[in-house]
This record gives sequence, C-alpha cells and structure tokens, in this order.
Amino acid sequence: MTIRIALLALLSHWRKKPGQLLTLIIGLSLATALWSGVQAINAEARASYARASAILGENNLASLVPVDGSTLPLATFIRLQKSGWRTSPVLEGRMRAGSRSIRVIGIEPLTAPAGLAGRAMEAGNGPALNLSAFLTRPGQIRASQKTADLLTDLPDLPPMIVSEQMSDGALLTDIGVAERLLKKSGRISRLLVLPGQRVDRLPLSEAGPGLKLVEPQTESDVSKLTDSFHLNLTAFGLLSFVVGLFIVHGTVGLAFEQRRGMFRTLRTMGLSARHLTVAMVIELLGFALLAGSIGVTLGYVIAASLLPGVAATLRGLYGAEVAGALTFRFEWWAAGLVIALLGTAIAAAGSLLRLWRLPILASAQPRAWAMISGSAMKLQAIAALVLLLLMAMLIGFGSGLVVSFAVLGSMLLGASLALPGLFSMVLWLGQRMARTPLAQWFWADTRQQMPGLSLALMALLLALSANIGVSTMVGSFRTTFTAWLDQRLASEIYVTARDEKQAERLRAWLETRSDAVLPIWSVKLDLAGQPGQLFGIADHATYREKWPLIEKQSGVWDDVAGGAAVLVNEQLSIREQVRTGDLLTLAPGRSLRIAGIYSDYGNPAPQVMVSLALLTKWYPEVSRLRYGVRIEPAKAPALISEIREEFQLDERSLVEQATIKAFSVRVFEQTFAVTDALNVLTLAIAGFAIFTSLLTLATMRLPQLAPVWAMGLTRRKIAVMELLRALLLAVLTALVALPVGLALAWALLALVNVEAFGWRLPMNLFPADWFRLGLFALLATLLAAAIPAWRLSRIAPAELVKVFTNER
Amino acid sequence: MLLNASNVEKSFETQDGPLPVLRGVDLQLRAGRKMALTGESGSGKSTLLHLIGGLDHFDAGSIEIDGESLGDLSDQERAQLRRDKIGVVFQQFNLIPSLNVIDNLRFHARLAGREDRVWVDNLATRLGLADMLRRYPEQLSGGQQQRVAIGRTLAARPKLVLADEPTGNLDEETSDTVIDLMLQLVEESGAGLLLVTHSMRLAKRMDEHLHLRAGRVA
Amino acid sequence: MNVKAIALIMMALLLVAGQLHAQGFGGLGTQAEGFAVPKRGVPLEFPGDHGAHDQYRIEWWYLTANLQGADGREYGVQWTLFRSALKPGNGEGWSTPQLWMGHAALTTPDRHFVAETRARGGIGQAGVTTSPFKAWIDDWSLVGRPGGGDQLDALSVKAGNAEFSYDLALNAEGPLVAQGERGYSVKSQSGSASFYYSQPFYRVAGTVNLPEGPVQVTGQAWLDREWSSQPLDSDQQGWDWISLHLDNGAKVMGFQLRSTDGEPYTSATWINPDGRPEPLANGAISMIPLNTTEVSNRTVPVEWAVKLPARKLDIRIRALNPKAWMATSFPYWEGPVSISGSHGGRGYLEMTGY
Repeated sequence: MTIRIALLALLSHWRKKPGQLLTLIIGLSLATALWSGVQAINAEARASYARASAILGENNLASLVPVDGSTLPLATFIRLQKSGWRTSPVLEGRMRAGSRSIRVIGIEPLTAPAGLAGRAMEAGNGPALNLSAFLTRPGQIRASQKTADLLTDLPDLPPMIVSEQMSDGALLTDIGVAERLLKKSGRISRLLVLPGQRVDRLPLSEAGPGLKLVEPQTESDVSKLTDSFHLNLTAFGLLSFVVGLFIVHGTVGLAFEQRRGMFRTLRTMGLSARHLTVAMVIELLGFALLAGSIGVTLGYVIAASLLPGVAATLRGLYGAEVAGALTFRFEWWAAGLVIALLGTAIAAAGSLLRLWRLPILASAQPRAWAMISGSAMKLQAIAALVLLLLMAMLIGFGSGLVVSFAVLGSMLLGASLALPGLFSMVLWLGQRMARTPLAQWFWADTRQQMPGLSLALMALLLALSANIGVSTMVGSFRTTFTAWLDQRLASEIYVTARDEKQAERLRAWLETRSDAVLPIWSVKLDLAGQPGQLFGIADHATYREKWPLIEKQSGVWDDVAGGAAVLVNEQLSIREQVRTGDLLTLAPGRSLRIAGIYSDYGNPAPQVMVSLALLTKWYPEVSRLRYGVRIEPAKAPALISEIREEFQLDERSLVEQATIKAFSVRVFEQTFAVTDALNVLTLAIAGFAIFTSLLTLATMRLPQLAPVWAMGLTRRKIAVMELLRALLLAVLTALVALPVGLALAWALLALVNVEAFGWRLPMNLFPADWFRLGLFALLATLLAAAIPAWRLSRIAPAELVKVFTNER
Repeated sequence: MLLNASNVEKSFETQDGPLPVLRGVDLQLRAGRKMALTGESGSGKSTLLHLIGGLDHFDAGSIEIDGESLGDLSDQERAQLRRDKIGVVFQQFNLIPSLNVIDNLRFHARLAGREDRVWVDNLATRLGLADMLRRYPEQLSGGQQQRVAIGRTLAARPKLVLADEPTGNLDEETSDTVIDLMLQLVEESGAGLLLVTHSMRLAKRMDEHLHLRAGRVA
Repeated sequence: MNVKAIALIMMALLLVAGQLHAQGFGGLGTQAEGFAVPKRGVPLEFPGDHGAHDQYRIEWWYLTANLQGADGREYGVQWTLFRSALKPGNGEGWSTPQLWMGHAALTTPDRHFVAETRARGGIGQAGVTTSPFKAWIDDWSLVGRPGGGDQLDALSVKAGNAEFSYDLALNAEGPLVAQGERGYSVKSQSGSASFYYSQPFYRVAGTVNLPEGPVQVTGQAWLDREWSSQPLDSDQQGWDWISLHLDNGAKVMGFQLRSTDGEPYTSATWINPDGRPEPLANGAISMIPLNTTEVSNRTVPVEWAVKLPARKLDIRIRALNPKAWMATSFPYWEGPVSISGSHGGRGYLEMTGY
C-alpha cells in the first residue's frame, strides 16, 4: 500500500514532464532496438547456415556419382539397394526461368536421410509437407518467395509451396517431378550414401560399376568465415546499446534530481528509504519492460529491412545462403527485454544508490548534478590514462583473440573517459586566447557545460569512432579484396574437366585457341597438423607478374620453378610463425626453403605452392583436371560458349573471371549499404543523446545566461552562441573520433582479423568518408541543438527576469 | 532628464485573464540623483524596474532614458542601450558562473567598450575584493557575490543604475555594509540610481522616494 | 492379424514428412475415397491374393518366428513388408502412389535389433509378385522356393542391417488358414473389416547373424496376410495382438482393440492342428495385463493372463525380452513370448498405442 502511494507520487512527475518520459522511453527503445536488431540478423544468418547444411547434407554425407560425370540410370540404384547398399537418389540440374537459371533439386523423401526431407520441408513458417500431394501427380514444388516469383510465368509447373526454408534460386521437389522438369526421365545425378551401411554388402565395383564414391566435401566452414562479418555487426549493436545507455542514464539522473524535493516530502511523511527505493525500482522496471518491447519490435523492423542486404553480402562474400526474410523468434523477445532491463539497471544504479542513502533533508540541486567536480574529472582522466596504458601493454605483450578484444575495449573506454578532460584543456586554452569579452565568455561557458554534456559527447565519440573504424575496415577489405582478386584470379577462364581423358582433350583443344593453359593441380595433405593443400604451379609470366606476394626473396620465381623453394600462404606463415628464408618440411626428406608468402583471403586453411614438376614427381596420381586459361578478356565469353558446346561442362566447371569480379563488386556494395544504414542509426542515437542533454541543460542554464542578457545581449545572439557551442563540441569530438576510429580500424584489421582468421589486411584510408561522416555528425548536432536554441531565442523576458528574484 | 516614465501600464497574462500590475505610473529622475522605489509585495515596483531596464515590454505609456524612447527600440537596440547606459543589480544570480571575479568585474565594461583598468582596480579594492579576484562566483558568500555585482555594474560607468533589492538575501549587518559601499560608489561615479527596497530606513537616505500601491504612485 | 499396422504404416509415412497431425486413427478411416472396401462373402483366391492388392489402401506380409539355437537359447525373428497406397491403383516409375516399408527385427533374451527401410513402388525397389512368389524391399526378401502345393508352402526369408541379419528357410506343415468369416475379419462393432489369412504352420531352419557371429537355429513361424482400406474406428486407441503355437499342435490368433470408451473389441481364432479354423466372436477371448515394464519412456505390459473359456485355455504369456521395442518411424512393441498354464508353447505378442 505504502509502495503504491509512493509509486503514484513518483509517477506524477512524468505527467508534468512528458517530454522527459518520452526521452527515457525513446532512449531505451533505440538502444534495445539496435542491439536486438543486430542479434536478430546474426541469429537468422546462423540458423540459415544450419539449415543449408541440413538441406544439402553434402557436407556430411558421401555420395556415389558416375565416373564419367554423367547421370546414372534408375536400374543402377535398384541394383545397389538389392546388393545391400542404402542410398537415396538425388536428381539435380538447372532449368531456365526467363533470363534466370534455377537450380532444381529432386529428392526421394522416403529414402532420404532422416533429416534431409524432413528438415527441408517441415518446421519454420512454411506449410508442413503433405506427403501425398508431394509424391503423387502433379506433385509439388517448394521454393522461396523470390524463386517462386521467377517461376510464375512458366507453364506446366506443379503447384508451388512458398517456403522461406528454401534458398533463393533453388527449388525442391520430388525426384519424379524433377525428372520431368529437367527432361531426364529415369536418371539420377547422385546417390547419397546413408549412414549405417552393411559390412557384407556387395563391393561397389560389382554392385555399381562405373560409379565412384565421393567423400563428404571438406569445405571451409562457412560459419567460421562469416564470423568476421557477424563480429562487426555485434560490435555495432553493442556500441549503439552503450550509446543508448548514456541517454537513459542522463534522463534517470535528471528525474532523480528534479524529484529530490518530492523525496524529501515523502520521507518526512514517514516513507522509509527502502520503500521509496522499491517504488522507484518498480517504476523503472515498468519503463524498461515497455521500452524493451518497443525496442524489440523496432529491432525486428531494422533487422527485416537490413537482412536482404546482409543476405546478399554473406552469399556473395562467403557463399553462405541466408534466407532474405526474417522469422520472428521468441528468444529475441526474451533477450531484448533482458538487455533492456539490464541496461536500465546499469544506467539507474547510481541514482538508486543515492536514493537509498539520501538524507531526509537533502535539498534539490539539479545544477550540481550537471557539474562534475574537478576531482571527479581528474579521477576520470587517471582512469583513462590507465586504460590507454593497459591497451598499449596489451598490444605490446599480449596475443590471442581475447586480448584483441580487450585492446578494443580499453581503447574505446579510455578514449571516452579522456574526452572531458581533454576538452576542458582545449577550452581553457581557448579562453586564454580570447580577446573579446564575448569570446571569453563563450569559451568559459562552454567549458562549464562540459560536465553536463560529457556523457552525450562520449556517446557521440563512440558512435563516430565506431563508424570510422568499421567503415575503414570494410573499405580496406573491399579495396584489398578486389585488388587481390585481380591478382589471384589472373586467368580469364577457369575450367575443370570431368576426367583425365577429357582434361587431355581439353588441353589439346585449348592449345590453339588460347594464349596459355595453366594447370591448377593440387593434393590435400596435412600442413602443420591441419588439413591443407599443396598446389603445383607452372612457370609462367602470369604468376611472375600478378601473384599477390606480400613477402618475397629475390629470384623467388626462378627458385620455385627450379624446385628449390616453395611459396606459402599467409595463414600458414602466421600460424607456424615462419617467414621467407625458413625451411618448411612437407614430409620427411621434403624440406624446402620458403621464398615467398602470398595473401589468401577467405581461406582459413594452410596452403603451399611448389613447381608443377615437383608436385607430379611427389604425387604422380594427382588429379589433373583444373586449368586456368589465359586469353584476351574480350574473347573470353565466346571461348566459354565454345568450350561448353564442345565439352558439355556445367556452370560450376566453367567460370569466367569477369563474372566473379562483377559479382564481388556487387557484394561489397551490399555490405556498404548495410554498414551505412548502421552508421546512420548509431549517429542518430548519439544525436538524440546530445539533444536530450541539451534540452535538460537548457532549463538549468537560465541563471547562467540571464546575467549576460541583462547586461545587453539579445536572446537571439545568446541562442546563436548556444548553437555554435554545440557545434564546436561536435567538431572537437569528431577530431578526437578520427584517430580513435582509425586506431579501432587498425585493431580490427591487424589484431582481431589476424587472431580470428589468420590474415592481415592492409589498412586503407578514406578521407572523403571522414569528411562525409563529419558533416553528418555536425548535422546531427545541429539538429539536436536547434530546438533548445530556438526555444531560448523565444523565451519570454519575464522568464529570464524571474531568475533574479526570489520567485524561482 | 535621465529618466522620464509617464503613464506606464503593464499587465501579465494569467489563467484568469490579464492581471494589471502597473496602472499608469509617472516617474522622473535627473542625472546623479538617487531615488527609492517602495511598496507592498505585488505593488509592481520590481516590474517597473524591469521595464525601465528594457528587460520587458510595457503595454502603454512611455519610458525615455537619456533621451531615447524605449518603446521605439528593437530588441537589438534595447540590448545596446542596456550595454551602454544601464547597470542592473539584482537580488541574486547577477554573476556569470563560468567567469572568475576579475573577469566578471570587467565583463560589462568590456562589453560596453570602455574598460578602465584603474577604475576597476579601484572598485575591487574599495569593495574589498582584491584578494579574491581569481575565485569563481560559487566560491563566494552571498555578500561577496553582491559586492562583485555592484562592482561589475559600476565598472561599465552606466548613466543609470537599477538595483532590485540588492541586499534582500543578506543579513542586516552585511546588508548595511554593502548598501553603504554602493551608495558611496554610485555617488562617486555620478550615475543616477533607482533602488527598489522594502526598507523605509534605506529609502530615507535617498534623494527622492516613490511609493507604489496597487500599480499606482501613492 | 494385426489391425494395428494399418495406422502404423500411415503414421510412419506421415511422420517422414513431419506431419504429425493425424489424431487417433479415425481420421484415416474416413478418407477411403476411391479405395476398394472389403466385402463379406468374397472368397479368397490363390495364388492371386498372395500378391499386392493395389485398390486397397494398406496391406502387409507379416512373418514372425520363434527359434532356438542348438544350445536351447531362444530367439525371435520378425520380417514385415508394408504396402500403403496414397491413391488406389498403380502408375509408372516414380509416379506410382504405392509406398513400401520394411521392418526387420531379431530378438534374444537380452537384446533386440531393429531395422527399417522405405521405398517407392513403380521403380522395382520394392514389390510383390506371384508365380513364383516374391516379396522384397531392397535386399530384404521373402521368396518362394520351387515345390508342390501352394506358392507360400516353401519360402526363404532374409533381412538385416549393419548390426544383425538372418537367412531362414520355411516349410509349411499345414494348410493356409482363413481368419474371421472365411477371410473376412471384423475389427469393430461398427463393422469395419479387413481380408485376413495366415500360414501358421511353418517349420524353420537357418542362420541368425549377431554381432558376435552366426547361430544356427530351428523353430516355428507364422505368416499373416492382411489388406484393407478402412480399418479402425475413431475411438480405438491401440491394440494387443497374439499369435500362439501351442505344444499340442493347435494355434491361437487373438486380438483386442482397446477403446477410449468402454470395453475392448476382441476377436480370436482357434486353429486345430489339422488347420481347421474356429472363429470366435467378440468377447470370447480375454486378455488381462499382469506385469509391465518401462521401455523408451513408456509403460508396456509384458506379461498377460489370456483366457479362452470355450477352449478351456487359461494361460500366462511372458515376453522373452521385455525390451522388445520397435524404435521405428512409428514405434510399437513386438517380440516373442513363452506360454505357461493350461497349455505350453511359444508365440508372438504385438502391442501398440502405449
């Protein structure tokens, strides 16, 4: 009962100050929104990876395929089953839909591995499979909405079931429907070998002559690769959340100070500090839940609008299929609310503690709240110094992923904490140099505003540094990656033959039609205890001119060609801590000098290159199917058509370099769109923090401004100076944010990336971006400062006069 | 005539409609003269002072200061007038909190463009502020703050000093010291003074005395 | 025989698709559009009825065998081929609506091996032919061997997976036995029914292969053939079914369909040693659970009191291995039992819906 009354009294404050309540709710909602939005994107992407590997199952199942690369007849499948094999047929191919080609996957749901058919079709928000409709004529097609849209114009298709479990560009159907769509009646592309085979089954050579067993692909782990991308998103989410917390902290603190009088009255009327605190906790709990719910909903909207871009990025960059649509997961609600509660708790802890200890007769001092004593600022500066020292020591002596993150953390926190002290010094200098009284007052007063604004400015600093850091990283990634693609994908066409015989024919055929045919042959082997690859390369100008060496000895190509040295990729060199000149032992008796190190982005596995002669000598049985073809780029498309015509190679076996490059450019555009959107959102939140701080300070500032006005300054002029003051602070913050952001980018590129993925990206600078970002920051600050300034210019003189009399 | 107000009317908007505060007040003050303005609470004496200082707009009548008619001036021009010719000392919050004592003392004078270092030093000594010039307003007592305010006002050598209960927040003893200093220094500077006060004792020390009752001169 | 497997196979196939909406079994019974329905008085015809009946929704070839090793150790073997039609009739290649599922099990007193496999009809992966008789799915088969008499008189059966397998020869020592009214077997008060006949008189010899090695075995086996389209009432929640080889040469088939409300519906056939069947109406046989066991998080009765007063039969049946749980797409309990009381012998027990 007492608590209820106390709560009612507390809540009455907000009726009087609805703007403040709005600020609190918006701040907390925005913080929660970005955080949960980013989490939603990450969760969705991870769920998609899991789904993808479950649907295709190729990552963990071996399969039987015809040796000649063609299809196999139904009878072979039956013979294998009758010989004790347990397999499931898959018929796969491409079908044209307008200008697009659609991947058709036909499965046989009865024999398919327990998870395959089921997981491909059930669950999620797609309609559950009706087996009868799927199996019997006319059958059914499962496809994503996007794919379904492409297919609508095609005649003669079975009914379509839209399922967001499906990747774009692929459709899933019964094998009986697939053979009709693909016009491959009675044919099978491959047989998935199910787990738990009988030992006494007939050997493959008898049961399925002409078939070969293909072990599950040891593809690079998609989720590991994409971790770097998700890491960035998470960092963004976390930073925005922290920024939002600044807002909440400010509002809660202000409301506390403004209600001191009320607290005093309530306490004198016999309400215990405990009851009062409980009432305030309940109040905050209510706000947190409300704002958390709004935030999660908002986060969902953010995630839903960003996800298509993210999906395109992941698909392009890492080949990871992520559905472009979002499913609403219960965990987000829960996690979103928890984070909102946690955030409120952190932001309000100080106020609650003070309320708990509040002496009954403490007087209201909202002005004091806005000031930090000199000693507090000193303490903050010392903490900042310690953190930055710690950071330096970590960079110098530490290693490992955790340390890298600690570096990031101490860097950002240290920089933020150092900000008020730094500004104070700059403003003091400004004041010293000021010639006119107005200028002097401007600097002095700005300096006095620092404590009240420092939280908001720290938020702005974090937002700006994060933006600079992440943009620089993504930009560096793009520049490096595209340049690297140019070097690495030196050949115009990449072709993989079906078998040795075709390869031989291909080589001969291409001899007269191209500038050069470069073998790309490799074997898998353990390198430094990890599965890796050993490549053999031809001695050709292509490599000498283009190969992306980041470290080399003189005469490197001659030594490699002569079989005296090897090249290793950066991953291997970092992992094994070897450099050029060191000896690398590939096998007993096979030790060679490392003559060069090349960059190898996107591949987590170690790699070594030797001369072709050495490779074929060591591994005479090496598969000789892959080739790079050099030709004038303009002639490449025509040659590709010819090769396809002549050798009947599918899309995966015949790739044009230009296509890959164009694709990767598109991918980076998507990445940038996502990064930009997040940039704008975090900046907006920081702008909001500034806005609320200024609004709060505005009411407290009247006594500071009134004397100047009384002495002969118009309200307009004072308002303009207020605006200038905010801009000055924003500019100063941006100036500090630049080096901090670059340091952040450096840490991400040179520490985190190396620790997490084994490659280091050179850092590129994009001053144009900084300029743009600086303008954004100024714009945000201007917007934030405009309303308080406008209000000041319009304030009734009577309000100002009141300052001087006891009526206040 | 330094100050000539005639038939000044002013009312405030309230929830119950306009509330007349001044109902046609006439007032004249010659240069170098000191006038006390007394009256009950709500009689409109502070409002009249604010209007004369150009801090607020009046509804009817006219106010002329040193030949300039306030009613004809823009916001900008009024501010200029305050800068050049008027000095105001209020009951509280007279100082700029971000500036220290010496900077506060100089501020108005520099704003008006006539800083006289000798005069400022003189004022600081006379007001007993010489050893606290580097302090900030929040580090001063109430009496000290008001002394700085008086010094700041006189440093600019205004023609008219307006004081609104400058010692209303101070105890009697401090109050007397501060008032004595103010009267002495105003006299020395040759400015006219309009002083709003409750104290009849103080009013008697002025050259003239105007008593307001319910918005009219009594 | 086991009405159960009807729902069983349907459920299993639906489960593959993750569609678990089938509630009870009644929903299935109501949608017999286009399927043939068993009619009273239609005589069984051989060898034609040994083969598949595509116009009916469900059908099975269900073999259970009670076996002993040379050392007297007891074994049980199950071989089942289910046919389930999504629509009546057949079709070519993948387009056929006929689906097949095989279950195989090998039971020892302390272990129970289960295997399952599924196939589409129309492509030759599974099916049943007559003249000569052959039922198969993948490498599992039940094949007629040349010999006089009925095509089912001499059979070879084999199945297995990575853990176990068996290969047995069966020889019938008695005639085919029609269940119910000359093969028309009623399943409920409301009259739903199936066609049902059995060959309970097999002598068996062969090999079972356990992880530790092969064992030569001999014993008895019982083959059930049943097909239908509309098997169960909506309130029937499960069943308990037995097939017993009594020491005196007689055989007993009995089942009760447990109802959610009220008394179970029972049916039984007393088969004289010469193969002459005596069908017994609802209520003639009583089956009362005595002991239960916990298996796969369910409580299943593994010891029963069975009474057939008309034949002075008053026995207890006890599971050889109480844990004979068929962890297949649609799980159920099926395993060998021993008989004591007024008569001795061996048999098989099947229970679903627990």
